[in-house]
Amino acid sequence: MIEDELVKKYNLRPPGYGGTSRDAAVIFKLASQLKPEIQSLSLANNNLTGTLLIRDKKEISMIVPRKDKMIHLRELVLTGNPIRELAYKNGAGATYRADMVRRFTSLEVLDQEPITQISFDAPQPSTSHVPVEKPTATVFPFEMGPSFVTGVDGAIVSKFLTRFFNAFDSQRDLLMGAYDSAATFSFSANTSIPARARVVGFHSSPAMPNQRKLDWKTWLETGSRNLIRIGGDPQKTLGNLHIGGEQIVKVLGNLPPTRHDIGGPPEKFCLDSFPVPHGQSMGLLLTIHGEFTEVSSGGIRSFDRTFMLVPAPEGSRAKLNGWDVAILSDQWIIRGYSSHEAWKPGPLLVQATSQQSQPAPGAAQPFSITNLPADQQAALASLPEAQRNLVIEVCGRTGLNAKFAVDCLTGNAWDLERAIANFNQVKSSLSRDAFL
Amino acid sequence: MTAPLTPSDIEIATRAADHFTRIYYTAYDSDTRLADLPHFYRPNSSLTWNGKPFQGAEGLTQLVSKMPATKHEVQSFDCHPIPGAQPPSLLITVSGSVTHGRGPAGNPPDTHQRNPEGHPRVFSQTFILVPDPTAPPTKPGEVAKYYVGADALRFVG
Repeated sequence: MIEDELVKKYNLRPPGYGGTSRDAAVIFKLASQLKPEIQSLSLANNNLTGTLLIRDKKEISMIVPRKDKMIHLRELVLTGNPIRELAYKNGAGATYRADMVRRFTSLEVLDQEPITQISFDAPQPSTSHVPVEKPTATVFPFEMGPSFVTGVDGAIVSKFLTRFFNAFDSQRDLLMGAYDSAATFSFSANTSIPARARVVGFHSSPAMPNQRKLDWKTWLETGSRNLIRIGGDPQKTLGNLHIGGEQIVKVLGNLPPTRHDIGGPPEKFCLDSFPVPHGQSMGLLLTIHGEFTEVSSGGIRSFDRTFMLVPAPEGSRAKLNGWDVAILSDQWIIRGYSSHEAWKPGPLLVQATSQQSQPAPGAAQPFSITNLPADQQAALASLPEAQRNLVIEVCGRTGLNAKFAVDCLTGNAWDLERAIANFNQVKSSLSRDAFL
Repeated sequence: MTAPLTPSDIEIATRAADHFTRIYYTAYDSDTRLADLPHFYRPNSSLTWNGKPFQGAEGLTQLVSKMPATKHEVQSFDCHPIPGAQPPSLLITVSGSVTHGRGPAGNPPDTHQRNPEGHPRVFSQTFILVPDPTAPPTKPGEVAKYYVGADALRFVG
């Protein structure tokens, strides 16, 4: 390493030459930015004197943060470093190897021993390809499509989902029969605040008064398997993946009670489902996106749920329990609320267009939701259609904005004429910001 | 009866998913995505993009060539080896945020501050990675070479 051009250029002292871990961090940083990317890195103790580079896991984390993993590094040699030698001396060689293997996801060989791994036809390191200019259109090349179900009888899918979520909301142990004896289940919490939901202000929307009562504690404490968060912890990685119907329904029973309005407005859910090869036969991939109410707080969350399904085998528990399909795999992502407007079919914009902030052209038309600013439209999206129509009616007749129209209707038991009469009594005392 | 999974199956799958999500979205967001991304697919791969179906590496190329620039942030991912085949296929679900084009900075100056257009979207993407029985192992320790058998993406926020 002392011969390396970069090391000379930056006057760094590499490990063994009195280098500090700060120097080591700079070396790693530079190494991770080299083009072509570094594929092999040896920090073995050849000719090293003085302080060795890597003593423990903390030092590895300091010099190679998880997010900066060198994703093209194929070989690493740490022979002679205390982190390795002490581990082997204490009979913890396997733990050391497992830890390094998790840390460097692309590694194929560690300390000259191959690692058992799955590989990909990954793009080769170093960009030998000519960069291509990306399109700059302000509209996506393809529109948002409706739910997509193909290669399977749609009735089977809807029957499965209805029965599954009704049981999930009311009596989760009834689901035991739906899972294969080797089935896998896990759930993951994505706790990030969705950007668009924040921009339109769902968190403080009067139409969703319980959002502030939600917190992630229960989900995180009952075994979220978000591998971004827990991937470095082998116990949780294994323990938060549940196998077999018995174990799965036991875990489901500990999760917060939910209410999925699966029989409600269909636009609140979105499905993609198509057949996929499974071993020598075929399975069905089914993904559903939607929302549910957390019963304890009344707050609403969004979710994505993916099932790998197979036809229920004759004589199987699933078949005996009347399920047409059995679940082989079930992954559930719970995330902060976003409106189902996200998958409303139609053109998708890349950027806002100037026309959006201008009034619609043409003659006066009946007042409709499109007369409201986008944020107010979005805030109303979570209301049931009947209530949403009342809010729009009040906005049209009074000039109130959506927030005040909702407040006015709520205060008058959602009776339209009472709300209008109430408005007429108090309108002179309302401030400018109550109006559109 | 389906054979149960072993801890080793799960560890190998978890690491593969970690690696895959890093190299996949790095490739997607790069200037060389058109040359890089098709490597992950085969002619029999099934894709849907917001409900629109595409077939194989060719379909992927058709989809991506017209796509605005992207910047993905993976906020959550999970992976199961799917029981029932050896080596097992992997089911991966990803939840994250994706910024397109120039993001909010690309909006016209008169855009209302509550207008969500241009802001990052929430995406949900499901992959099934399957072993390629025709690809001989090329590296020591390689279980198999995997490719994207199925890929379903939706914008969900």
